Amino acid sequence: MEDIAAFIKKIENEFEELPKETLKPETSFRQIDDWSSMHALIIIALIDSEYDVLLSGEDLRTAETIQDLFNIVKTKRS
Amino acid sequence: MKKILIIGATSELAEDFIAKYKGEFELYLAARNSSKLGKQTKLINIDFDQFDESCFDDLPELDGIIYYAGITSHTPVKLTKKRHYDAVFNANFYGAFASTTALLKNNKLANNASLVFLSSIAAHYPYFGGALYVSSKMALEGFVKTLAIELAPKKIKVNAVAPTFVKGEMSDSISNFTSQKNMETFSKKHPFGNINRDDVTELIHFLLSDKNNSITGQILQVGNFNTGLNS
Repeated sequence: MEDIAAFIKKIENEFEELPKETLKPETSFRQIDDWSSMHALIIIALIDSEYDVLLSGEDLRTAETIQDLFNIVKTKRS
Repeated sequence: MKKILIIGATSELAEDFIAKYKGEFELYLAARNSSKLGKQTKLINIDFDQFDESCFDDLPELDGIIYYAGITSHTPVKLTKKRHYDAVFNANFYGAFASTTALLKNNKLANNASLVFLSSIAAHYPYFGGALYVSSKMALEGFVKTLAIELAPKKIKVNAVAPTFVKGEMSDSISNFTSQKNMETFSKKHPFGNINRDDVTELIHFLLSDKNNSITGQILQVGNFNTGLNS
């Protein structure tokens, strides 16, 4: 599987209003400006489309950072 | 006793109908995983990803069908793949169409039968990420209206029931993607409050009954969804 840099790039690609390189592995994604349920939906759909992994609502609730999300994806793919 | 085929029998709405009316009708239950339905007789395994119409071969002539099968979608258009399209359209649209074709070809529908298909309020009030769900339900409604014309000579009634969110699996999956506040705002758009499974079950029961003499080709909304500015 790709590394976390590629993962972050994909997320940035979906959130066009986000200035490039604001997302880091340690970024707490709920702190992103104007974070909403729509962003949550897009992240879930992106991970499903790109990595064939379906995150549960629970996964999303327990994850804090981008790194957490990436780790869940990695675990669920293996 | 009327003979009714229920397709998508493991859905929560179907369970409600079965629990209330299994004594009144002779029910035939079809589902993707019919073993979930326990030890009931007259079970049919059905999978619209690989539909085989011979699954209906042993059915008697039917007085009605209720089509409950369906899945939601929460995928923005930009991220949608063919596999999403296939999954949603197979369950929500193709399954309804192909089942009806198979039953008609094999003369399994009695004159005066009543066919009910579950649509959704979402076909009329779309939501973010719902392109596949919304368009598959719109397609289903177009199918219902057309089929009503084709089957009118046999006095077969064909209708769709389009409820707003009913507390249960599907609406819970939606609440994963939205905030408590959004859900409350949404609830307030319903002057009669949220609806229960009962409200849907009773309407379907009426449509299947002999009391329904003339309602056909209709999309019946349940839930009084109000999008007016004064809501």
